[in-house]
Amino acid sequence: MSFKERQQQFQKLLLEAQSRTLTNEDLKALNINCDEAPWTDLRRFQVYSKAYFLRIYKSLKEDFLLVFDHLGEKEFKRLVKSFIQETPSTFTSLAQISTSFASQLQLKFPQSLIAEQAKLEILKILMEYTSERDMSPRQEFWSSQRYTFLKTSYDLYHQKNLCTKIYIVYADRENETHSQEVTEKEMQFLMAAQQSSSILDLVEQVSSISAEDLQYWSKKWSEASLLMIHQVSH
Amino acid sequence: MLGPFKGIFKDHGVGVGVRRPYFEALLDPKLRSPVQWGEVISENYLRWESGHRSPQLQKLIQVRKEIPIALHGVSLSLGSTDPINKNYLNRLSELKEMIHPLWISDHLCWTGHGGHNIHDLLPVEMTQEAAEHIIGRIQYVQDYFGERILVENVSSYVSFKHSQMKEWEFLNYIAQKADCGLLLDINNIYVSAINHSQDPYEFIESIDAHRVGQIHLAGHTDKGGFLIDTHDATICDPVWALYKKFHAINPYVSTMIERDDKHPPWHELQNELKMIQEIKSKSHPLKKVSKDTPLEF
Repeated sequence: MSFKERQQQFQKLLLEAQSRTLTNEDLKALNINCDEAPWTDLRRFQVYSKAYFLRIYKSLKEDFLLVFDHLGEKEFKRLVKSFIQETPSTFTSLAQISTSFASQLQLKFPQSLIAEQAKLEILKILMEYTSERDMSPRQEFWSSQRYTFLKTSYDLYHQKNLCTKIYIVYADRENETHSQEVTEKEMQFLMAAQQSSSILDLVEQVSSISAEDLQYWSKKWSEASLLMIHQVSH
Repeated sequence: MLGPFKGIFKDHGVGVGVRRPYFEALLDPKLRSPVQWGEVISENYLRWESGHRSPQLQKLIQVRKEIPIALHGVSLSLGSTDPINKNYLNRLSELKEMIHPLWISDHLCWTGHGGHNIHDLLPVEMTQEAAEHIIGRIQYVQDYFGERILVENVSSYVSFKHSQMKEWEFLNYIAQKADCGLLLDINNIYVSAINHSQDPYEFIESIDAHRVGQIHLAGHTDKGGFLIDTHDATICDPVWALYKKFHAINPYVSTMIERDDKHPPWHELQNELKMIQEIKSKSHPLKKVSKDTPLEF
């Protein structure tokens, strides 16, 4: 077995250890030094496999307190276990795993309180993070507090022959008019925002939109302004 | 044994792992004493692929205005057989441009295979093949940044039958061939030595002391004679003794406490930091060093 194959095998066993009990036979290929009980090679290997679970579990528990309280420790642990088996991390930091966990909860429990709680919790975290897009020169452009939504080509967009892009025209607080191209998702977000009475209500309405986009658009249009948008149909 | 001499990295004195509970203390010059520099976990401040940045970055920039900062990574995965993650290097480079760190460091370990991240410092087999592989990767990273990096020894719980070198031999060989620096974690030396029934003093006396640019001191958890590197406890007496031993060999090394969990109140951590200051001042009266004597070369 080559250096590369041994690493592959080490990781494979570490991940498998999350769902089954390893045996001495499993570890043979790794060529680990055998030591005397109680710290046998198997128990030594478990330090790594347990740490993998505990590190991610601790981080997710900190980020999803509402979901944790709702489910209880046993069920939350089971959920994290199945999550790390199905979705091994490819992220650089533990904090990023939370975004993936939130998406997984929404897929597993669609339209449920758990999904809503997860979305709210990840939104809260992401709202604290500054976005690269926030730092763009357009930040000043978007800094107006409130908008009046004047025109949109959304209806034309749906009649594909007439329009291939969605534009909106809106007036800011100073009544200055701006136009902007938006994606279909962002348009859906804006339309949902019109009908929402609160941010909670909005989260419920836009379950198909990712938490990251939701966070970005909420910031972009500002929470206060969302409730002030008035669409004037084309 | 080597006598006291100056290493390739400047001695910045007493440092601390900059963690969220300590931001305010580090921003206050009176409270901060005796801290002269700090170290952060790079990954906590890197831009995410989605563009998001840590809300703590602005705090770090404030701290950076007060004291020099070293960037310490956990994802370079120098021992991995995966290709070097260039996206990670690019993002680290962005952070480097913001912070202007003292240096960049990471661990002699691997953290995942096939694009996965296990979020742990996994043990490398100490073979010639692995050493050559790691040397090439360190050289690549150093070429990328245009400067030496520091490579840290990790705590380990398993060792491999086919390893051909002792850990200190492996580290010395790699550091010399890659021309990098070493970050010596004295707690990790102790933890691994106990777990593998080895002599930690042999490690301390044999490591290439002039390549050591930084020292970590930390605590661990004793699980009935087997030690787990938790970095969540006070530094134990054997680790202090090992530090004093290394200090007698090379006193000119920036030394810090790395506390990753169960953060004590600042004044308690300060007491441990003062012990480093005391050790450093006893055998290494920095104030008496002539201004003509450069601390680096």
